[in-house]
Amino acid sequence: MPVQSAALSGEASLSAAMQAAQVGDAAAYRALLRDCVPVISAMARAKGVQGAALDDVVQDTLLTLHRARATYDPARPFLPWLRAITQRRAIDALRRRGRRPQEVHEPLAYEARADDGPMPGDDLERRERATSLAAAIAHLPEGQREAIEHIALRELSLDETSTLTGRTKGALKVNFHRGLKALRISLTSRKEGTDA
Amino acid sequence: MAFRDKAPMPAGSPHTRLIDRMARGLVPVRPLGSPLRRVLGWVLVVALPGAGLAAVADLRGALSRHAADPALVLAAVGSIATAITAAAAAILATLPDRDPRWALLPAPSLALWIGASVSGAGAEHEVPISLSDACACVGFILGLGVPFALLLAAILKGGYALHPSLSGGLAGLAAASAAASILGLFHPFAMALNDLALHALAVALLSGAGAGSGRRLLRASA
Repeated sequence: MPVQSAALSGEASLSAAMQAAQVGDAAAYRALLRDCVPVISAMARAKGVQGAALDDVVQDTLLTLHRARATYDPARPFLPWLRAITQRRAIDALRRRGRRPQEVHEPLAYEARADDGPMPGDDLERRERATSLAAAIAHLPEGQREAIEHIALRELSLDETSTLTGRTKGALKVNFHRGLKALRISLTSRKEGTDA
Repeated sequence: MAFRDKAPMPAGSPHTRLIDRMARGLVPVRPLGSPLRRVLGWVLVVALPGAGLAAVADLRGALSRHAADPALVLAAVGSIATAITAAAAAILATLPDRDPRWALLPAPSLALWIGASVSGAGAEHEVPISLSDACACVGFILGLGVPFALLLAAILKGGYALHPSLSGGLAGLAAASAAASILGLFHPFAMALNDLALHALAVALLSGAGAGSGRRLLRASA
């Protein structure tokens, strides 16, 4: 069948590109990773990952693929190897999301619970907070800004951030703590200025 | 490439930046050897101190003890099989595309080992051994098991554990089982229940330590 043969040739070309990447062919590796992005997205979506988390799973999977590239056995198909990594990262993302507060489906609790819906002005206040945080982060030096964005906002590990930014883990830790301190000072002074 | 033209990526997207960075820093890697060869390598290295210790052990006494007690033979077979299968499962767990159910590989031999040990110790109604003798057994298992586990961890670091705690726990179990198998050569008394409990504690300690440190040890190289 033509569809099957296309899939097989795709599998074969991915496998060949991965073998080339294992011996250090950067061009083949770049092409392989670009080809993998839509495949990873589709696999993660099939596991239930949606929205902005999808991009995080794609990046986490690419990073894992990079670290685990020695474990790919050229005698075996490439896509099951990629799928196993993607599914693991997708599950990690879903667990992270699951740890955040969720709605409780309990009729009695629902009836008895006071209305905690947004008060008038909540949305405006939230937007102002987000804007001032974004502005404060934008004013940080590049190293601190990257550390805050990747570690605090995107919840990447030090290893992943190190690969992503090319900085050492030690430098990232220092930048992260300095960035937090600078943000605390900046946001506190802004709040005090507003209160006054 | 098969998928490239279907979804072209914007040049400045975060994915493109990450891919370019990873491709720029690409270094060649050596594909891992076959899992079988790596398991055999570990078993051979572990067998060396085992053979050395066997040379100074009272082999005749050990053989006569085993000949007189079938439960002892079954327990020895179970512990040796657990060491080999747990090492194989730990190595397979560091290959992302292998079925995670390989982690259950040591379960039958572990059940045989536990079953034979418990039935042997329970049937004989042995007098509990002294605390110092029991602690010596624990010390032997831990003393030999820790280097065995570190050796296996060094082998596992070549792979990439998607479940590092599981791989570490299996490595600890393999190392403890190998050490307990060698201990059988120096165990001049039948297994009493308190002795059995302390053996189990030592195996559990090593497995738990492996599981606890798996993430740190196995992901450190990644």
